[in-house]
Amino acid sequence: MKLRSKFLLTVLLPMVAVLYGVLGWNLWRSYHELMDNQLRSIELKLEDAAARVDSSNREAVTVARVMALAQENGLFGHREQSLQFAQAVLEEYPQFIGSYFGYEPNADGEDAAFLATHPYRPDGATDASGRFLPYWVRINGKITLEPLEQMENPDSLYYRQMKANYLARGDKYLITEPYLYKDGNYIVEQTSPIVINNQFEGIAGVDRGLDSISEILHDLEASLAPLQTANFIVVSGGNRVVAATLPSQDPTQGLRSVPVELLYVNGQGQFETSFLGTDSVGKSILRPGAPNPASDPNLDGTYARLLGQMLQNRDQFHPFDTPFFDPVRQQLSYIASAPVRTGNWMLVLTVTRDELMLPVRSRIVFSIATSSGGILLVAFMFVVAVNSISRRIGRAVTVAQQVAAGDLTADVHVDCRDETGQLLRANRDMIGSLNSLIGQVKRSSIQLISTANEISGTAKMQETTVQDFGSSTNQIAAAVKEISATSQELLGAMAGVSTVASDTAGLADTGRQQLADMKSKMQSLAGATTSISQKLTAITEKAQAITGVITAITKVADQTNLLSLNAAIEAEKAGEYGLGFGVVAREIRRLADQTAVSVLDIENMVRDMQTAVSAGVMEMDKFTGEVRIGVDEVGRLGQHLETILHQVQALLPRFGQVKEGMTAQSAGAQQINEAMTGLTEGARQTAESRQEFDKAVRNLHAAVEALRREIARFKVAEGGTGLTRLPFPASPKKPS
Amino acid sequence: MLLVLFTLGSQRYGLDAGVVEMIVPALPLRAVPGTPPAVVGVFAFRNQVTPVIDLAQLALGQPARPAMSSRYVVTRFPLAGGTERFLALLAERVNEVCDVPDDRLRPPGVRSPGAPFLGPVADTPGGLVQTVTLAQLLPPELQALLFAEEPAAPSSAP
Repeated sequence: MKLRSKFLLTVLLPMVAVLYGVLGWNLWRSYHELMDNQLRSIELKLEDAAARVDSSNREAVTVARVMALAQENGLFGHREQSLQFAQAVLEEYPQFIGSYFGYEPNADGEDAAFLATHPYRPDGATDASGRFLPYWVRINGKITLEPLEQMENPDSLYYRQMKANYLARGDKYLITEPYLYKDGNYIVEQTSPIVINNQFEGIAGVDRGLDSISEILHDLEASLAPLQTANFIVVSGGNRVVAATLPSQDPTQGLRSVPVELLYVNGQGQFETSFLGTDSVGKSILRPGAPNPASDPNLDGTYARLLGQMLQNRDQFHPFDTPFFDPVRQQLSYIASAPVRTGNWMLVLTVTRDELMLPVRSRIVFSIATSSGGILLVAFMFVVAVNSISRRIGRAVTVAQQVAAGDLTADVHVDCRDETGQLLRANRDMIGSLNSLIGQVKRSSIQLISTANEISGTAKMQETTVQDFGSSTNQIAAAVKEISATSQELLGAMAGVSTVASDTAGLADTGRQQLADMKSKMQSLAGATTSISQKLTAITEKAQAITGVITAITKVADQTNLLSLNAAIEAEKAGEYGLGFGVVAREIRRLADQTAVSVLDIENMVRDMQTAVSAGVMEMDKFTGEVRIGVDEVGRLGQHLETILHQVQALLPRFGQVKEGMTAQSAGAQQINEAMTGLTEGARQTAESRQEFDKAVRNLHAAVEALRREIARFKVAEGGTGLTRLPFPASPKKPS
Repeated sequence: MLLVLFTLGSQRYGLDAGVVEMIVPALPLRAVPGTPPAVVGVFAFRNQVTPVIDLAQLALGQPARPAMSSRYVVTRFPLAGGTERFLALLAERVNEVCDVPDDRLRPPGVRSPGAPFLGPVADTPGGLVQTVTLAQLLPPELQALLFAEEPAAPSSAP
């Protein structure tokens, strides 16, 4: 197993498992504590709500009791004052819808007398017998008077019940069951007995509409915010619903007066009321002939069952217990109840589990998210650390394996300073040392082999040279003889060359003198040309002077013409006398015209002459330039001939030197011949000693080759020194 | 009658020598700015400021060529009140006079509305010569420009 996997399996996995275990346990505990706290806080609110309902009941009872006390302490028998008192009470307390006194038949002995003064009216204060039964009732906000009814009905809740309770137990008040009174109002009555001299003389009391109790419940619901699904049910001492915020089929009256054991929920999540009826005093009962809802499988009796269980111990507080499936809300809900002492009522509260859990759940989810994040971060950092260590150790192992296999080219990268980094660094240093050592050995062996090869090659060359040397000496001897003969022939030829050179020098000298003559003649020609040019220029100047004279003549002719014209005009003016003068004038004009024509001819001739002279000047200038170039050419030619002459004359003495050299050469050739013979003998001895040298070089080669093979196992990092690229053959050739 | 011959373009014309006072060389003139191109300038002739009209410019619209034979013909120009003024005419090739008998003068044959000064034609040995009438020479506006003020007669008028 790899180091990394071992770390992850033996350390990280158990650690994460334990952390998650602890987290889960803690969350479980927190959840229960939070849920308990939530339920307890709502239970406290339920107790507060029960106290409010109780105080409302107590208030109503107190008013009834005060009215009875007023009767017992002087008001009894004063019918007019009693009427006003009851009316004043109703006006004082707008939450009540009725207030009344009810005497026993002829309790004050005034029935007949009162009837005499106040005739019986259905809207009056008495019944037909004159019994004092005033009942102030608020109908549509208006207070009216009418007599009480149904006091003696055996099912009547308020009169007979109160009387019976007083006589049996001495009860001071009674809160009746809710029932449907006239005008469609559901009410409860608070009644107190009027007792004078321990004699039950009648009752006093007030009515409360169930609407006022419903309002209290709605206020209480609002106090439970932010809970939205909380619902209250008030149950009377006779186990009937006084008011409820639960939905039912009858939105106007709700479940008022319905007995608890008839609370059934149908398939639509609503309380079923189809089987309900009303008894003679207005209480809801199971309608005669209706089927028993308990036997209907489509109806759910959860509420009837739960409330029934609670009512068995109605004096106690029933805290939230395990949740039940609420058929109205179609989800799990909690239920709790608190006793309302006055009137022996009970206040029930239901609320869904989801809503209770909402704040708890969000806190739990937040805890899980933050804890999981922390655990994952720790795990990630651990994995990173383990990865880093394992990677470096793996690299050290790889490098060590490469070195063991002889590969020293591995590049070890050290990126930290802990123990793994030190291991890698040690590896790198080891490879570096090995590299330099092996590289050194390799280079040395290569140099050794190359040296041995050089020695071997040099020896072979020496051998060849010695052999060549022997044959060369013989050839040299023959050549020396030929040189001697050739030298003699050259001596003869040199004498001929010397003669020809002297002749050439003479010819060149003659040519030089002739060229000098030619140069002087050319120079005199150039002088003559310049003179001609000057003369032509003089001719041009003269021609211009002629032109000036011609212009003057022209002007004279023009003046003459003008003069003759004016003369002719004057002659014309003179008429007859001017005739002769006119003839003279005409003659003058003719002469002037002839002059003008002659001048024109002269002008043309002079112009032609000037053109010709200009062309001649140009030609002469051109010719002068050419003559000058010719003179320069001749001068340069003469210099060339002079140089040739000097060189030829310098040659002559050298021919003599060559001749002397040739003679000395002939004598030297004979001496060379003798020296050659001695050299041939020396060469033969050298060839013999080389055999021994050759053998020693071969031994050296063999030893170096063995070393090279051993080193070749190692692959060295630096390029170019490996033995795989040897610049020479692996084994030396055998010397011939 | 005696004609003083001159050239306009390539044709020879003649002016009656009777109205000619004198022929003088083309002297340098004093130019008068703002005048029509035909008025070349003025010069003093016998103590009188005499205007010079370029005939070639007047008749053909191009100035006379500067040559030795281009001369001023000083005439006595007749004015409306019977007086005369000197007027110099610049013309080309004023180098000849020609005596033409009056019976050799012929009507011009064609009247040119643009050139009312062209008169009868004379047949001379040098070819046909058309005479020029001095009085018709100047257009009225030019005449008004030249002789508007000082209607005095030339002192030496005959």
